[in-house]
Formats: sequence, structure tokens, C-alpha cells
Amino acid sequence: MEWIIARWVTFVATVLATGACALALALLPRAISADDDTRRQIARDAARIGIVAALALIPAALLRLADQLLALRSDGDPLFAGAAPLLTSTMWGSGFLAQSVATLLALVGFAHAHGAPGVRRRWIIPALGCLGLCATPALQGHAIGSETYTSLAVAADIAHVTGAGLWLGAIGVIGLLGVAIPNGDGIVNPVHVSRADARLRLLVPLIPPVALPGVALLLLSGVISAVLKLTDVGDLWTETWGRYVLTKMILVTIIVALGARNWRTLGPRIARADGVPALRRSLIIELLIALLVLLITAVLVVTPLPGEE
Amino acid sequence: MNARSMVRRSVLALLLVGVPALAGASMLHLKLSRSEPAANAVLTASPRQVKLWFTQKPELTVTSIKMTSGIGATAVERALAPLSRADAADAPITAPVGAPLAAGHYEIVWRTMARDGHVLNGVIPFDVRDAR
Repeated sequence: MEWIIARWVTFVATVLATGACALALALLPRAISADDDTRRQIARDAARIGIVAALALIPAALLRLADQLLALRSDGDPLFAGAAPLLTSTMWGSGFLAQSVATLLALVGFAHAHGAPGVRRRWIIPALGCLGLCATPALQGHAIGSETYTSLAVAADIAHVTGAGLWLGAIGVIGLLGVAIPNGDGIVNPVHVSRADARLRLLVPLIPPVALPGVALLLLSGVISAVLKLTDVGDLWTETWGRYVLTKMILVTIIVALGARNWRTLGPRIARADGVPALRRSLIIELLIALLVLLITAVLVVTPLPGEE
Repeated sequence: MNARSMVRRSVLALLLVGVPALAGASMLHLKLSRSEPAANAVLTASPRQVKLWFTQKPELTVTSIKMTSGIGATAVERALAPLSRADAADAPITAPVGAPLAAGHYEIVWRTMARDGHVLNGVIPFDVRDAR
């Protein structure tokens, strides 16, 4: 169970960190209606989200390492007895070390970008770290274990996580930036509410050019990954793994439908007083469903593949 | 037909033809396919080595193979080493048994890991009768 939670936190943090980079590098430069100070403030908060996400990856990684060592440990052996061969001479260990380096790169990069959030080149280091974070789950999952179409399976997994980061990550970061957090007494500062509303008005219309390629990448790579693992279409409803994939597909379709509704129906109403609360509600629902999708993804990694039950 | 339309049609054709072509290339987790001695085998001579064949190449450096002899409180366990595996895709993991086994009941207790980190283990019981 702890392995699933650790994987889930890893996916959520990876997607959010990637979304923070997508926002700073692809969305904000097109927010021409905002002044420099507003853009800088948004970029700084995005960097803050990136820092928190990168920090969350550290305990998740340690938990996954401990779990892997426990699974390999013989009775009576110290926990870390098998750490050296696991990390230095296995594919899982290579993936773990690569992910650790990517986490460090992202963390340092986000901290660096936080210092001067308006400077685009400062976002290159965290973006490289996030690319590494998107690539490394493929080295620790079903894809790398395959002995047929390994390169295709790994490429599809990398594209899948990257697509999720560009789409769900960007929406997640915008959702977090567009929420006014209450203080200790449960009171929400009206200035913060108005700032959060203004951010949603500014950023939501900019989502489609980043979200659409992200959705396309996610769906195409998801189809390829699923087809590589299915032995028959019927696996989608007869096998546990297939049922999880089917549930994931339905939930992703709901998020796409909500996104389309936001774009076509709620988007044009965003300037009206009642437009922003409706949009915020829809975004929160999208994000809750996205969290569920990532949880199912974490469960899928440890679920027997079709034909193995 | 303009360039954009051609790209769209090409992607669609790739999806319609290419993706179904991948079906059946199912990826399965690592599994033990067979062993020497085989499970529940009754041998008339002590085996000189243990061989484990897997459906995929396992991670040798984190693999362990132990041999237990006896039952319950009198059971004795020892690790078999060094483990080796040839480069061939279907090569088994091999472990020397060491000194010849006396007649009795034995179990091979093994644990290994797939490239994707999937850990699996198992026990292979066998008997040696009238060993010389």
C-alpha cells in the first residue's frame, strides 16, 4: 500500500512540477494583457509550487527505496544490506538514481527561478529536471520490463507522463494559483480572492494551446501502452488491469469533457461576476478527478498484467 | 490535399494500421518457467547445481538462491553462491550445490527481481533418495 501512495505522490508531484514549467515557459509569455509585475508574481508562485512538488518527491523516493529493499531483504539482514547492488547494477536502481538527479535539478532550478521569476532562461534548469522526472518512471515500470517493443513502450510511457504534465499539470498549477487560501481563522482575505479571480481570468483562456498537444500526447501514448499490454480487447473488462485502464479512460474522458465545457461555455462568461466561481468549481472537479486518475495509474504499476492473473 | 490534411491522414492511418499491429505483443512480468531440480522431483543422485529458467532476463546481482534441508526446527538453510548466468536470452541462473546432498527432503528458496523492479520469489521442494 505504501508503495502505491509513494508512486501516487511521485506522479502528482512530477505532473505539477512539469505544469509549473509549462505555465512559466509557454503560458505566461502569451499573457500580454497582464503587466510585468503580475506575470512575475504568477511565475514566482508557480516556482513555489514547483519547489513544494520537488520536495514531495524526496520522501516518496525514500519510501519506494525502502519498500524495494524490504522486498529483497532476507530475514535477519540489515535493511540497507542490499542497497549497493540494487542501486548500482540494476535497471530499477539506474531509474531511481536518474530520478534523484532530476529531482535535485528541478529543486535547485525552481529555487533559482523563484529568485528572478520573470527571467525565462532561469526556467530552463527546472524544465530539464522535469523532463528527467517525466522520463524516469518508464525505467521503473512495465515498459522497461518488456522484452518486445521495449523502446516503443518506454517512449510511450515518457510521452504519457509528459502529456499529463503539460495538460493536467498546467491545469493543476492554474487551479492552485486561482484559489484564495483562508487564514488560520478560516477567513479569506478579499484582496486574495480578487487576485485569484484575476489570475483565473488571465490564465484559463491561455490553456488550450498547451493543453491540446498535452491531451493528444497523453491519449496517443496511452493507446499504444494499453495495446502493448492487452492480449485481447476483452481484457478491458475481464481482467483487473483492464478494468483499471477502462476506469482511467472514462475518467480522462470526463476531464476532457469538462475542459471542453470550460473552454466553450464557461470561458466566454469569465468576465462576468458569476463566471469565475463556476469556472473555479469546474476546475476543482477536474483536478479531483485527475488525482483519482493518477491514483489508478499508481495502482496499475503493481497490478498483474493481462494473462498473469 | 494540403500538408496539414496529409499529416492528419497519415497519423490516422498509423493509428488504424500500426496500433492494432502491436496487439498480441503482450508484456508480461518475469516468471519462473522451469527449474532443475524440478518442483517435487525425486532424485536418485545429489544434484551438482541448481538451475532456474525465467521468462525474462532477471537482475542477477539482487538474486538469491538458498537451499534448506530438514523440516521445521531442525531445518538448516545455506546460501548457494556464486550465482552465474550466460548472456543468452534463455540462459538459466546457475548456482553450485557444493558438497553432495545426503538422502532427504530439500527446498530451493529463491528470490529475484525483474528489470522493472518487480520482486518475485518461490520455493522448489525436492527429495534425494538413495544418494551415493
